[in-house]
Amino acid sequence: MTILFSDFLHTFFTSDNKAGAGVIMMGTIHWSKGLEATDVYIVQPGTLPLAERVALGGWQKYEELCIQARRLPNPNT
Amino acid sequence: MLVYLVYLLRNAGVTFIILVYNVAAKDELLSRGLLPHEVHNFHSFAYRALTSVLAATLTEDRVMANESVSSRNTIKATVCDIKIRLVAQLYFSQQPPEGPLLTKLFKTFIQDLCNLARTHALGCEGKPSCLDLPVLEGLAIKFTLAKKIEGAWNGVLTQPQKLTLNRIFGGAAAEARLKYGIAATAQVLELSYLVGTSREVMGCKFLFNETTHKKIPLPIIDSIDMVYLAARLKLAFPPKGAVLVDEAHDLDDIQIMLLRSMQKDNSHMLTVDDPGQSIYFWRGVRPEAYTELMRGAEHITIMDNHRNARSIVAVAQDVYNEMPVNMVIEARKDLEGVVASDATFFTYPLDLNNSIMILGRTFEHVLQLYMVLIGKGLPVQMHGQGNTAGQLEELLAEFTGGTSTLLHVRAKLVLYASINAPCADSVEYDMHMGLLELLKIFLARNPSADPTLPEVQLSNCGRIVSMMCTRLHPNHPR
Repeated sequence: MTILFSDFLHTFFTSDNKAGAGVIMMGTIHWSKGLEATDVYIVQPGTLPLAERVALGGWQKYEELCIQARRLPNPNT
Repeated sequence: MLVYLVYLLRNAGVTFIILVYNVAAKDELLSRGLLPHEVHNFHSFAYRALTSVLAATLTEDRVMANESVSSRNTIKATVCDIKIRLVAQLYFSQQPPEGPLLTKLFKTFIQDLCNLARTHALGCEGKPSCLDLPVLEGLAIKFTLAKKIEGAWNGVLTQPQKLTLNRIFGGAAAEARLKYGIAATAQVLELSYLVGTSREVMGCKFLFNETTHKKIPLPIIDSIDMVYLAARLKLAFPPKGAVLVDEAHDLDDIQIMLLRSMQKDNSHMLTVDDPGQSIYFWRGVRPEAYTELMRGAEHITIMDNHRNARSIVAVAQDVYNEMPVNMVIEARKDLEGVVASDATFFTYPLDLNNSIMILGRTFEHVLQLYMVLIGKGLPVQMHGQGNTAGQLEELLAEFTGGTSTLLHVRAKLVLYASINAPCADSVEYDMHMGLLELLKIFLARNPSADPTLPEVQLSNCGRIVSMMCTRLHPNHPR
């Protein structure tokens, strides 16, 4: 039987953006902008901010700090 | 606050529109009682106006050419996320026999620089032209795009191919390649404009997508074009008494141009922004452009927090203190002014009775935990930005080449990622690493699939390449 990796890619990502109980929503911080959930978990919080971007300085550093700040106000608990 | 304002505007009989950044934000406002005609995201709002203008002008074009015009063959722009790459391919096809090599080398660079040039509104009224090479060079330097060329140069091309191209560039230096790439981008930008607004360009009525092996009819646009072409064509929008914009710190130049075109003498504009939440500079957002838009406007700072408890605010304040933003945030209070009880920083297992979101800085980080949770049997849904699957498939097609096993592709991806590292600021780098994680997940979910066997096909593209190899070389394993 032929298994298509590209078919797997398309079924892997869902288009339903509504958070609801019973399903764990996963995504990047950029994806989650504007969304809310009761419980919010951060994967590898040590990567916030990304050291490589902070080292670049300037707008990259500022943006990285914004991303770090952005992940904090999400929970509505 | 927006919902309260809507209540006031409705009662006052003022016509208004709320523009938000994406579909998720639009859905959230609709779930809070706003009506579909009151809320739009920038792209869909501009796209609607653009398609009607394109249909009208191009139909007129047909009439002038004495072609049949009926309601069945109405002209409609095709939306294609990899449009710029296809246009670059068309542009380089004029330079045989090196065209395919030049496409391979420059397509990622041109894609990124074209995206930035368009979000900076190049070619629009009052802005630099698309052919302004110093401006394009400035963008390439600011966003460190030269590494896109060097990544492809070192990781994709063979030594004989490099020697061939050096003759075209007039030297082996990286600067020569960058200069050539910038000049090509300027031409691709103009060509892209024509591809988005015409039925035929350079004798072609279609562009060929090598990933899906489909011919795409002109006019073709991508998501940036939806707003860019509306701004460049100076489309007029129906007047509204008030325009409300959420997340205004993420407005780019073309969105600002669109807002300016909606401003009338007796209309109002209200924007809600937080400079500490700007996370799209990499996409071309300029804080100065927003400052210019709001010059002379009344600015009200709202310090009341209706969302977060004290413990979360305390951590957020530490981050704000490191930023050049003078902001002291306070914890959520109830109607009596009592500060909300502390939130819990979770250390216990996930409670599926609540809505749960798990976030990571990069795609790769999230996918790594996804595998762990799936292994534990938890109900997990992965979400991506826009057409993530389509982008990954396209990326996959780049790496399939003449081979069709997962192991070959994995080896190429690892090599390419190592050449481009460390550059975790690059979205593309993250996509490469994400694709590697997805390959692991795919194999874990399909334990019977042996990555060394040819029947584990990577994509439709891979299968076609493999079939062609069989035909050309009878001794090929497939």
